Amino acid sequence: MRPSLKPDGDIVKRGIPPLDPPVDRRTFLKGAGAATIAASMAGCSNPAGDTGGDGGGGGGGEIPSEPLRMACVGFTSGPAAVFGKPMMQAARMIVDKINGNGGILGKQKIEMDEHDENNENVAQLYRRLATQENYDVIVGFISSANALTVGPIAEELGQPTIIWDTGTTELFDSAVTDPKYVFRTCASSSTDAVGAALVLKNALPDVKTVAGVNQDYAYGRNNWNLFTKAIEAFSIDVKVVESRFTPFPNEDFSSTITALNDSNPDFLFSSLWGGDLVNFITQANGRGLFDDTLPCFSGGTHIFADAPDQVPDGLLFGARGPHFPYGILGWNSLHEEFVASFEKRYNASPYAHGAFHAWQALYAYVHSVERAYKLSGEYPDKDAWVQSMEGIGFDTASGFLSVPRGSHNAVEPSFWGFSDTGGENISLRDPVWIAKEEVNPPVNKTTGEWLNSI
Amino acid sequence: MVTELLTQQLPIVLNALFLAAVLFLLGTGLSIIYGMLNFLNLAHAAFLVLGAYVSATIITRIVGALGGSVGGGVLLVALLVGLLVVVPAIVSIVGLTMERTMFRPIYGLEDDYQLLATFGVILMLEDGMKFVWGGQPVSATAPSDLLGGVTLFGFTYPLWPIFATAVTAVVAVTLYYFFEETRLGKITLAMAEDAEIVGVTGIDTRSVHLKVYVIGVALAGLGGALYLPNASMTTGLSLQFVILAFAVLVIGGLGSLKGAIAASLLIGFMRAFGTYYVPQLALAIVFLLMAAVMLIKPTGLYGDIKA
Repeated sequence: MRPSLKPDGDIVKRGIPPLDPPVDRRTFLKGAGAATIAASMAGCSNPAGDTGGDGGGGGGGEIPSEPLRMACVGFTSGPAAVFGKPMMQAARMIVDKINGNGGILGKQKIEMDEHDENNENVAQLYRRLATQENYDVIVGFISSANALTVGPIAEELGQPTIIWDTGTTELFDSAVTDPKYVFRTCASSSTDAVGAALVLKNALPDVKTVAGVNQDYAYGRNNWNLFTKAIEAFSIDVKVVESRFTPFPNEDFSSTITALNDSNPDFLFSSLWGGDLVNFITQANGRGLFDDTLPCFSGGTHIFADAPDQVPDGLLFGARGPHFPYGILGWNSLHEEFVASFEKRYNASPYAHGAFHAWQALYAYVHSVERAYKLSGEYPDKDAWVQSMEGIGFDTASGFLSVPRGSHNAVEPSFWGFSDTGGENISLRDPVWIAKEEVNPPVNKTTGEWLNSI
Repeated sequence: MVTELLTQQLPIVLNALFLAAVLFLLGTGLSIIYGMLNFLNLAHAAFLVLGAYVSATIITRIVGALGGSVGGGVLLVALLVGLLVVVPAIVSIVGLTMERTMFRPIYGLEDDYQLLATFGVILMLEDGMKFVWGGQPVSATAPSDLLGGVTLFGFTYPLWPIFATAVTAVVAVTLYYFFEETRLGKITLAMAEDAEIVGVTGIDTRSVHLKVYVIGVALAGLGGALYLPNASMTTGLSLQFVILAFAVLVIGGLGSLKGAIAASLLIGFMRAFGTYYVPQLALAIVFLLMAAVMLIKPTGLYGDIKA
């Protein structure tokens, strides 16, 4: 018998995060220069192409006539294509939409090129894009290992770069400790791993034993490390009875599942994704693992599209934050429009959280350029762009997204729900959420320092 | 106490046997094609992957066509016919087409050129399969769902892996009979020793060659068909299977059926028990096994043919 969630309502709350930002939207307009009334009127919560208007601002300076050159890098082949493909699709759709509205500031078109991250030498690829192909901005990277590789190179070259999907907290904790040109526009794994630990503490009082199964590479190790650190930091009264790291990719989970069955945990934390997650769930279903163990998959909702028949009812899923196309998360008009447009154009559902991450990354860039222009009156050079990105906040298809001042990492609330296979689309029922400040470190601390200081 | 310990090992033994079954079907084809036909086909593992993808399509089609109109028993029989007969046949046809168009021109080349060429073929097949089935994980578990599971000594276990192991055992016995007792089998063994001499006796070696090649490819296709209902297939897994196929080849010995059986069982058990007891070695264990065998017996456990 799997345990059910009993959220305390204080840390872990029922329902969905509020749509409104924690402070007035105008706060997010400050930072790139002296905010003017005109700038305030421009409203940073209306990204380009979604204003319904001309997208133009009140800057008055010259807007480049040549298109903005943007490289998007993601896995379009290999196992990680489960994220890469919908990400590229979303990116292409968004670029077309922005260009259809005239472009950035209603005038500058985006010229976007797709590059496959499934590359033997990502460092070489990145250097080529930055130095030989001279992209204005490089947006991309799904693999944690790749983000850790390119982050320092981006800083070395002074290349504006947005990491759009990578989770590892090591990006700004150790690889790029003093970022200038590198931003991440999605939440780090801290949101997932610390969030899962807080769910354990504040919504699952009956859980006594915990296990983990994660892929044996940077992302999986980082997730489990954070999760166990959070258990210690929050003094959660559970015993870790098993921790498993599986080869990536892996075709056979049978003995791992047998070991998990024998350790008989009440709760199982897993950051598995892609074909590995499908294999794991498929093989676990037949071996009764979920009969009396509640699994919690922190980034696995993409399998609702890939292998819907394999998803049992009532497993706990997260989507690397609040990125889910159906059910209770009818966030706002942006969400509805994005999901509807994606379905119409690609005849598929954007279950992969990466699709929403792509939305955030592209609009973060466009919006930061527009904000800088509106505040300073000039089209921003890369340093002005950095100023504009720092402290940015805007409405997205997944609620309000912000990059705290003093940080280069967006923060998002933690969000979890039970798989509900009863409807036309698999949905998440009885969701709970945790505020972003509860699952992310303060800007002056690394995730490890923060957890150690609790 | 002893009984409890033994029953605790039982699911791991079943895991090992299923893994061994898939490895046997994968590795045997590679072994006989290389050992007996002297063709080193790195792309052989892609036939298992292709078999898995084709199985997914066939399962989906059969369930779509018959799902609501027939009973579970009839549906299961239809699915089994699809998986055990149609999938190996389709994969064999693809394999034959590739043999005539891509492989025949490289038969006379040195091993390293064959390796390079057939590695290119893997990449082409991967892209081709991605084009047809997409980059997302593909799964279809209806046969396994229909068979259901069994509760033994307090643990739940799906029947599909047990069934797949039994099917593979029948295949292994049949193959053994084929090589030991039939004329074609004996000719094949003779060709492995000296194809030229066999040709001089008037036997159509090309025909024998094709038959053995098709058997090897069909076995890999069957491996994919038995693998899929228990898992999923995704782009990028081909290379995992390539490594496992060569592990069977190296450990068992070229062209030896006994060797393929022994190597598959050895790898299956080492991986299943290794993953359970020493998970850190889950990946390394196959390579350690290969290294140990090569040090002790470079031709493999039952091989006497030198690569």
